[in-house]
Amino acid sequence: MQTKHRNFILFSLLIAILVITGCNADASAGLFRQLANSREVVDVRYNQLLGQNPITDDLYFLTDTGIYATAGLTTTTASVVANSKNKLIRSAYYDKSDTILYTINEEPTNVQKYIISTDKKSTTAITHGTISTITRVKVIPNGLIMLTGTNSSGATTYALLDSTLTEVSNLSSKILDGYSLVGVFQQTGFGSASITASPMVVSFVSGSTYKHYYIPTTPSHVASEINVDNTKRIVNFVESGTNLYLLTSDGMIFKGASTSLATAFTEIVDVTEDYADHAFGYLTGTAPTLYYITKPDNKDQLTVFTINTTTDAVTTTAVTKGYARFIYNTEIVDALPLSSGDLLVATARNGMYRITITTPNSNDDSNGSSTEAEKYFP
Amino acid sequence: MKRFLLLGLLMCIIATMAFAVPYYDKGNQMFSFTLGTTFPTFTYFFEDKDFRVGFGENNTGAKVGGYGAISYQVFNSPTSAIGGEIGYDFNFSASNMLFTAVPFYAKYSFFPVQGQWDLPISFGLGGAYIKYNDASLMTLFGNVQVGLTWYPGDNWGFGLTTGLWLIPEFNYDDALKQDNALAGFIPLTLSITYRQ
Repeated sequence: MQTKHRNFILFSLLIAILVITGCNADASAGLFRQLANSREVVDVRYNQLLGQNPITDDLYFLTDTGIYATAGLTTTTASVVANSKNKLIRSAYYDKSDTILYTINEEPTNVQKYIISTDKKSTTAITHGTISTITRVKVIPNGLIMLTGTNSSGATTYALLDSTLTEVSNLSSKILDGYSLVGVFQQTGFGSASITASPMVVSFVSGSTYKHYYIPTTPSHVASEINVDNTKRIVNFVESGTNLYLLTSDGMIFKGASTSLATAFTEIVDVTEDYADHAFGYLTGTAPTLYYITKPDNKDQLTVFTINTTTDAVTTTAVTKGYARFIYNTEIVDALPLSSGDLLVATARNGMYRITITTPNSNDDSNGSSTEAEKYFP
Repeated sequence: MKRFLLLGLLMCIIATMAFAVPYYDKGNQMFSFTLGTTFPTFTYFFEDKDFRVGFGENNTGAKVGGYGAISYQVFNSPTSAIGGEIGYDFNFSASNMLFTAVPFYAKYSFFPVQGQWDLPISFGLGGAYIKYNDASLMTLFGNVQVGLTWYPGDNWGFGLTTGLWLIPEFNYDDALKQDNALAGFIPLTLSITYRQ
């Protein structure tokens, strides 16, 4: 009888230990939640939505195998420029007419201009007055070209050029030696909008110190440093009127005025969420109520920040239903508003979706709708 | 109709038990190798009362998987045996990532039918180490199984077993408590058993 008691106690202890030690501390979400939320992987791995031809409705996009275009408002696609082994197109610009600009491996000698109608490619030689040695060339989705290199003294220097290789902004005059480029940001959904239509934010880092520059839409697009906590890494931004909102990698939003960048930006919300570089952050609504729809990296949800522009009060809503039902657990890489008012959302592994948002901050099936993966056009 | 069939089966088992001479004695042993498949059946999330049933995307998220195990049991009476089992289960998720579980548990089996044909009804309770993506934890494991084993000779037998596994997930991190859940799997396995 004593042995039976001892066995029972030992077995109970074993069970208690298992339950107590059953921690899942490093996980981004519960194990079975992650499993239940897993999504079918589609063949297409999207990188960027380049834009839509307004006449033919052909949609151009960049994937990990090259640039493709749809046949009008259908999901039938054809290759436009294919990647080849070790020659990858990292980013591209489409002028919504007949020209695509891209770089291969971001190499200065591999800046290509492709004319769609004639199927002709040409290599554009990049030169810059201040940057004597160009090490990296990045085509920005809005058609600008970001150069990284060194000047005659060997100091790291950056510059922004337009497609005619004319310098845009005064970035090359900024002292950024020792700083690495960490992000060239455009507002989500405005990737292909020109610099005169939508501003940019460019971020650099040295060690753990960041410098963020705002480049306005007004010529001559003078880059101004943003006075914000320089330990924070910006991953997305939106602008409403002259209000500028910066989303950081650790889930904070800072607010300031794009007309007064030297005035310190103030934190208006801090959520315990992680955001990846170039996180999805789509702004909808109008002042005084803005809806900033974001996709945190560590949670299977869309987080909608409802911002009162007058009081700066912010409420957050986790959305997984309605318009978010297929994208809340994906890695969103780009978005493109359509003339219909719908939003195309491209993901890294789970295909592309067309969503309609009616009530952004309500988590129910009536807040909008979403097509299934890869059924973005009728 | 189903009820009548089950009742008939139960009557057969009871009749067989009543008139059969027990084949096993206290001290007899069994050693089994098991190989088969597991069907992710349901996942229930306690917080939002979300009950996901079935395979793949928008359900349990897991696909049909595989299971292999070894078990040992010793008879503590002519009709019941105690022992244990350790196994390895894997299921790919909808996104083709691997879910794995290593269950190890104490097992009690009741043999209402025994001899050339054994019909063990087993109950298991123990632990399981489960892992998926960036989550892993040691948790509880419980199961109930029923099998049918045919012994063409005295020692070696070939069996088919099914049942239900239950694997709970209890998170103590506040951020993860909303994901506490209970998962169920149905195994379907073939086994080779050596008895003496």
